[in-house]
Amino acid sequence: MIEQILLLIIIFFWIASSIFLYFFNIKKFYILSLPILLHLFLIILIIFTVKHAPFTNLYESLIFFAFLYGIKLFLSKINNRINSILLIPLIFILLSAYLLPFPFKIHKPLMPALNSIWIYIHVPAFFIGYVSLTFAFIITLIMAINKKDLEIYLKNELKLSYFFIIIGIMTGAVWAEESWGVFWSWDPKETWSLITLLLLTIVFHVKSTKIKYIFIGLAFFAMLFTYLGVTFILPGLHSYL
Amino acid sequence: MNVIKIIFNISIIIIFLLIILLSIYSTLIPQEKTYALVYSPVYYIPWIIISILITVYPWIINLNLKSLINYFILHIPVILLLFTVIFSFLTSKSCLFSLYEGESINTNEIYKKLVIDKKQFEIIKLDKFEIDKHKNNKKIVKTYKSYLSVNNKNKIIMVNKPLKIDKIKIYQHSWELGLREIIISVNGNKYDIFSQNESPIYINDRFILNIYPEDIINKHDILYKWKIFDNNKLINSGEFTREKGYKNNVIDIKIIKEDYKLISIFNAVYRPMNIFLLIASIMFIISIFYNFWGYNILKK
Repeated sequence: MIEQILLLIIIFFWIASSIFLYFFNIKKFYILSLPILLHLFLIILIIFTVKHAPFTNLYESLIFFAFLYGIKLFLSKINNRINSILLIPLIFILLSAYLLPFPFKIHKPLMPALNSIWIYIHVPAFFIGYVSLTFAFIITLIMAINKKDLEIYLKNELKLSYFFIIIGIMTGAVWAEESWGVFWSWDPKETWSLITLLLLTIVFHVKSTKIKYIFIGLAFFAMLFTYLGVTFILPGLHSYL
Repeated sequence: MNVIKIIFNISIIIIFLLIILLSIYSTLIPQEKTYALVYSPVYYIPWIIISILITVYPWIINLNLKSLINYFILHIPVILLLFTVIFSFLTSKSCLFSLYEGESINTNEIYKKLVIDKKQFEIIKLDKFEIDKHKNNKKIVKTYKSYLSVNNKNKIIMVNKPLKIDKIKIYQHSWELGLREIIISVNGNKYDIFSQNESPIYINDRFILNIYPEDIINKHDILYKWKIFDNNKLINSGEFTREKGYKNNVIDIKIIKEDYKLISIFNAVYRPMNIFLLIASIMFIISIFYNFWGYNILKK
């Protein structure tokens, strides 16, 4: 109950931050510090409740993903107005966590399959990659619609995304070998993470800007499907959420 | 030269798209068909073509020395990684073996099955096997746990906890029910369903009762399933355990004697190329890091 109220307060503060960033020329530090600290407090509260990594079910992982997204926003050097647009996905992620049906929100003991040190590297690595890819996608949309030159930021986000998805895949392979005795088992989640990576590889090899934007969009939707779609539609070894 | 460059680029993108489409398709078909697809030439030939294109690209384009070095810093680790993945796959060996609760095996027998020459001798004894169940929303996830004595030292094999002996890793694979004797009483009559998975019991000339072990509950107990057929048509079914039995107006089922042991099935894996795979992976990560940020950091 406390967790839900806190989550609602955090959502309110993130929405307020987005409005403040858009309309007022105040330093980002002053606007984003409070929601970030509250969000951090929620993550700590979850850690104390579950006594393990705070991203072992869908609800926890959405909150953790949003937190990493907030940190990323806090550290970004993009101007306030664009930051306010970049904040929109974070609000949606938190709202969807809040609106999840009750059974999805119940914290459960860690399953033996997830009880490994690798969970602390594999999952955050993917999430950092996914956060950067979401950033890249929103920046691409802004560039395509508003014709703003954000190429430097886009390039950087794509590089971060590519690098961390590779780290995620490789640490996942090491973990899989430790857990199941195979590095790669062509599980839908594994295959879709490879698809996301291959789409990003194409992005780096495409010269035409328009085609590049299309592939960034495809990579983003492949990432969304890997994170959410596979969990609900395609059963496999990763059906823990 | 530019035309060749464009053709190269387009070819690589088309092949990547082909791999992506095949990969998407592989996630939509049953698991056994997925394996058939990904281990078929249809899937791995595009990867080979990409490796060839990456290798020949700088020689055809005639890159200057600086560009050539930069190109190879990024792309040689990619090819190296692809090759070590293939070599690791081709040189790895695995075999399944099973143990009853209380049964032992020595590592030489496992080495023989893997066809490898190792000298470290250990006795592995399975003391107990358990099945844990975890409810995850609507799904039940099972975890198998084998309690072992390895040269009289207690060890556990379960998910995330393989047993490492020399360069071999032993994983928990699956389990089987080792029935020795199951005697049940149905309406006061005794039946022996020893070593039969399903045994028809004729209640009268019309009704047939089938009783068989279905699952393991409470880590180690058998859950039995019963079904009543009327002229081959299922009319009723249910479950029972040794502790509770089953009773209604028509049937009264009790377990009189239950003698069984669980069989744990293990997967022994030997991967001599793991170290090269690790080196290639680290090289790949470093090369990506260098290309994305390291080069600029060094320049500064």
